[in-house]
Amino acid sequence: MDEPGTKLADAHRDGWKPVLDYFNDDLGVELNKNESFIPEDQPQESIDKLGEYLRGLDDWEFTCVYVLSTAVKSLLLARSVLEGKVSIQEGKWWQGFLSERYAAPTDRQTD
Amino acid sequence: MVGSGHAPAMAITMTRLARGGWVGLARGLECLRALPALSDASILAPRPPTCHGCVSGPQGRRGLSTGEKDGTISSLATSSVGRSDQGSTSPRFYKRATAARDEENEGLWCVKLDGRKLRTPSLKVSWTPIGYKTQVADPLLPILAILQVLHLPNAALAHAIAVEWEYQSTSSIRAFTMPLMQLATTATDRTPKDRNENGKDRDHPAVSFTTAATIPSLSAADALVTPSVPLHRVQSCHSAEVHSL
Repeated sequence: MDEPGTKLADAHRDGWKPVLDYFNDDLGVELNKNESFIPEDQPQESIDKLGEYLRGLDDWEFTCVYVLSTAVKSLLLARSVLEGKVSIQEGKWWQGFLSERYAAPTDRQTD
Repeated sequence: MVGSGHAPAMAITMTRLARGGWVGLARGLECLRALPALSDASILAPRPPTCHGCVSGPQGRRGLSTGEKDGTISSLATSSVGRSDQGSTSPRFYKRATAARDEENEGLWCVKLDGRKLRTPSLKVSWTPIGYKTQVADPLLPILAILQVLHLPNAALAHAIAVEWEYQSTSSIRAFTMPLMQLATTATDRTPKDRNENGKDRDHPAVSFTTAATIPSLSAADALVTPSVPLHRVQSCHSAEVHSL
């Protein structure tokens, strides 16, 4: 269910827009945005294009994309960081947002 | 092991090194310095070796008794963490680690430990010709288990990995202080194998990120659920996954 106007939704929109735009401009990949916790598949065409991109990488680059994607939890962010479109700090914005906004009780300072 | 927080910067650094020579190295270092969490584990000394095929790493830094906080691999290797032999896989069996051109493969570089080429951990097994001559299915057919030389695409990466080996303490070798070595062996040993086995890469975990997990869901419900999973736990999970790749 969409809940526009919440801080989280705004942060997501602002954070992801440059990344999605980059993929659309660079690889012609269009991706579905999903605002539900029920997973939604991406268009087959987009998956194919991304797959083609990944197959085009050499083993060194592929290893790096894999390590990065597991570290920042997203192939899109990983590639953007690797290609220098997004800085590491920007790539980690999602984690930063979470820990700032919803830090675990033991870590929480003031609320 | 590469700490979970270090993984992205190390990966970037390795790509920059693999792609870009010294310009790439400078950019890789920028990436490392940009991440505060990395200040204790930046991989290269402030004065990276500048000569080709010669000794890397300044003299006399091994075995310092106190940890230095200069943000280099040497401070990690000689810090309080570094002084312990915990995590050590073997005592240091070499004196000097150097980077050198691979004389058998033009254009490639390798790391040498006391002049002997550094090899990757995985065994490549091949049958000896004797078995074929006898044409008998001999269960004791001799096999040769060979460790492959770690070939590196350029001088920058070779020097960086030589520095990692050079800064091991005199008493122990600890793999977790050598993240670039780890990434390089993954890239040479595991990645080609996994990519072949997975054919079109379609089943590879990296590719599966393109489906549902590409963009985290956006609902408020998700926000309530997500923080209940400690981020560091998630990260260490993924980190372990990387190394079991």
